[in-house]
Amino acid sequence: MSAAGVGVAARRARSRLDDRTIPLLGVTAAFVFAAQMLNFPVAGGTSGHFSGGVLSAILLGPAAGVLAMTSVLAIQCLVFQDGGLTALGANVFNMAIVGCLGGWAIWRGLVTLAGWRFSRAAAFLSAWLSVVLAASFCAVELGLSGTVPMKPALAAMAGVHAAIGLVEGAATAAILGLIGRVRPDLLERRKR
Amino acid sequence: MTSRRSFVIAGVAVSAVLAASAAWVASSFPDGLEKVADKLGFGNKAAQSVHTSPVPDYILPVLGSGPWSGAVAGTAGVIAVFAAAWGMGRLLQSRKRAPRLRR
Repeated sequence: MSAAGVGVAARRARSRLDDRTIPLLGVTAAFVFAAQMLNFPVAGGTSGHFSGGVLSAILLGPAAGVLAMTSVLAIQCLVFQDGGLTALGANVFNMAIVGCLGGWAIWRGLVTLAGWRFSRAAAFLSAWLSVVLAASFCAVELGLSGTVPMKPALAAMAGVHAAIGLVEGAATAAILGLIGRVRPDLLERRKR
Repeated sequence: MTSRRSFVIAGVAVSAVLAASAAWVASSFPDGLEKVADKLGFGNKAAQSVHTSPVPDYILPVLGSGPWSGAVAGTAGVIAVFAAAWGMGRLLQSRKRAPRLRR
């Protein structure tokens, strides 16, 4: 399922890849990888880290965003043994497809409703939702696989990630603000 | 407005610094999924790894397990991800060009 999703993303991204967007794809993936290493403490001896799906989708467009997230997850898995090879499919589904495409769809919808003026507020909200959504999908998958009872897993995952998502949202909005100042042209392309 | 090339270089540099600093500043508390796994007792159900990584857990074995080892691993990771994403983009792009040449 994840392979099919990434395949479709690759096909769609192809028409938009050119000498300008390919370096941007590399930088966004590198940045997301680095940001995912920065665990920050949240309540109760737990930490969270940035995920970056909505940020990549807004910077690169949804299809290339999925590709950036997939390359981050693949390197984490293959080189750093963070997330097993057997879990790569699920990780790509949750973080690259649900987190990136789902978050993008929410962002797009909000911007259409509220207008471009609110694009950063929309980024905050959709980034928060994308983290909670991805975590919920993860809990449902764990539940379906019989690893753990579905209900407590869903409650715990959504609960913890509701807090983590606040930081995700704030970071996404802040980084978009920064990029809007140094490279406004990158965001202009998303206005349409 | 920053030029394209310097934006890319600056972006990779910032990412490398972030990844390296993670060795010192990142919280070592279990993350959201790990915490829930501990609480609900499925942390021990993770499958045995099916391959052996050269750099397990962001630590370079030759440099020991101190923060410097993590910093080097993180920086190398940033470069690897940048190269992988760039390479994937180029690969997709060249496949797009091929049919156009045949026409």
